[in-house]
Amino acid sequence: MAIINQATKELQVKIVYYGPAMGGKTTNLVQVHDHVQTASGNKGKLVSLATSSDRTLFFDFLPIEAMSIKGFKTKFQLYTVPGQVIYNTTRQLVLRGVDGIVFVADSQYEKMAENVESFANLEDNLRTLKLNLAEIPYVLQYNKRDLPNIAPIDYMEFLLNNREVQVPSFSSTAHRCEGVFETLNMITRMLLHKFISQGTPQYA
Amino acid sequence: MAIPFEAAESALKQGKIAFSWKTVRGWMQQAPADASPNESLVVELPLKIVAPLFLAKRAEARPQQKVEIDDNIPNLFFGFPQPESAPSAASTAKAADTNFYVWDDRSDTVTSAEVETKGPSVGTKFVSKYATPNEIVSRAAALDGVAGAIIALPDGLLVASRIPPEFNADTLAAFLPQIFGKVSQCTKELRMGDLNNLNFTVGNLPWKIFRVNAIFFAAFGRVGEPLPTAKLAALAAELDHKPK
Repeated sequence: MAIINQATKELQVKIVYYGPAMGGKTTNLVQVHDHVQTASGNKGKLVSLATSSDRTLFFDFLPIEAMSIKGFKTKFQLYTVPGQVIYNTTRQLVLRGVDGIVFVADSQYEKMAENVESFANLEDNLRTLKLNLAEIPYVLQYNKRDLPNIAPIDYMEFLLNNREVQVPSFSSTAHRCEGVFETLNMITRMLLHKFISQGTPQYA
Repeated sequence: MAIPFEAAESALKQGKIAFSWKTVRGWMQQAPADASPNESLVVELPLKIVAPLFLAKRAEARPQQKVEIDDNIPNLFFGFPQPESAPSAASTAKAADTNFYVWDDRSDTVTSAEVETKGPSVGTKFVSKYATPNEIVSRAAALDGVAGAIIALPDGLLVASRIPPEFNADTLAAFLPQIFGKVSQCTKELRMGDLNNLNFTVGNLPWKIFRVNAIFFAAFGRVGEPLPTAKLAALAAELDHKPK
């Protein structure tokens, strides 16, 4: 849940990029970090919290046009999780306190089963944390649209966006920064919408 | 071969179309009559072919609710794509504007903790004169990279300070023990032991707080410059003496 810092009048929001291994989660973060326009000092360093064989990245920054909610500036923390199946404990840890999720799917046909498995794993891990995906703002990003062997968007929607409520989805080629900011803007707008409509955000 | 719609749908939802050879054989229009010894073998059908056929045959998808967002909420982020950028290099590049401490960042000074623990001990310098708090903060503030220094008591009372005019010495003194105490509480909870000293960075400004018995000695630096940690530790050690 969002953290409120009364001293600095900041609302801190946690967004987790989730998805199968090698799907482009880290590339999304790197592109945002490289290209986001912020006032000086409002963008944190891209930090890698690494174990010997897996990798988790996060960074933290304030947007230029930070929208005030009841006098609080919004500060976003973006995280990725290690996509490899064996690092589930790390994924659970990173998901703690999540406010919004970007699910980065790999558009290649041969990765469809991994996309489904990763999405199911996301739901399982949220359940472990007593969270429900239906209550958390999330968006889908269909990445690697520049590759030749990609599934049509219709099929990816059928696969991953076939629930009662259809969430926003974006095509992307993250290494070219295509679709990266569109995705980020949508999830942040959804989060702000949620906080505004709910009134005062919860205290952590 | 004709795959039943429901079977195809179910398989496509898994992102993989895999059935036993026996099942597949049953769908073939000119299937071999004899049972095969490989009936239980799992056969994977090409998703690339089946998925588009399924989507074409599929009736209009059931209506779904859409996520609603207030149009008045603007986009917050803007970026300029740079196709030439190398993501892998970018991930390791050091950014000057950070509030975060990174372990392998050589520009910071925390890794000199070993130097601190082996710093000079006043106990072996029998002829040296103990420095007063005013002398300590003056000498600390004169060090390269140090913008200000302050000494406070555990109740937050100011003892001595040499700080730029934009800072309030009394306020800083009041908060030093609290900052130190909160982190110390965490290290105790984690059974890591008592906190010896504390490094942190605020808006690119490095800070260091030493606890010397019942005294808090803090120094802060300038943007982009490392603190002379070992020299500050030596000054802190000079405060480490029993009153006569």
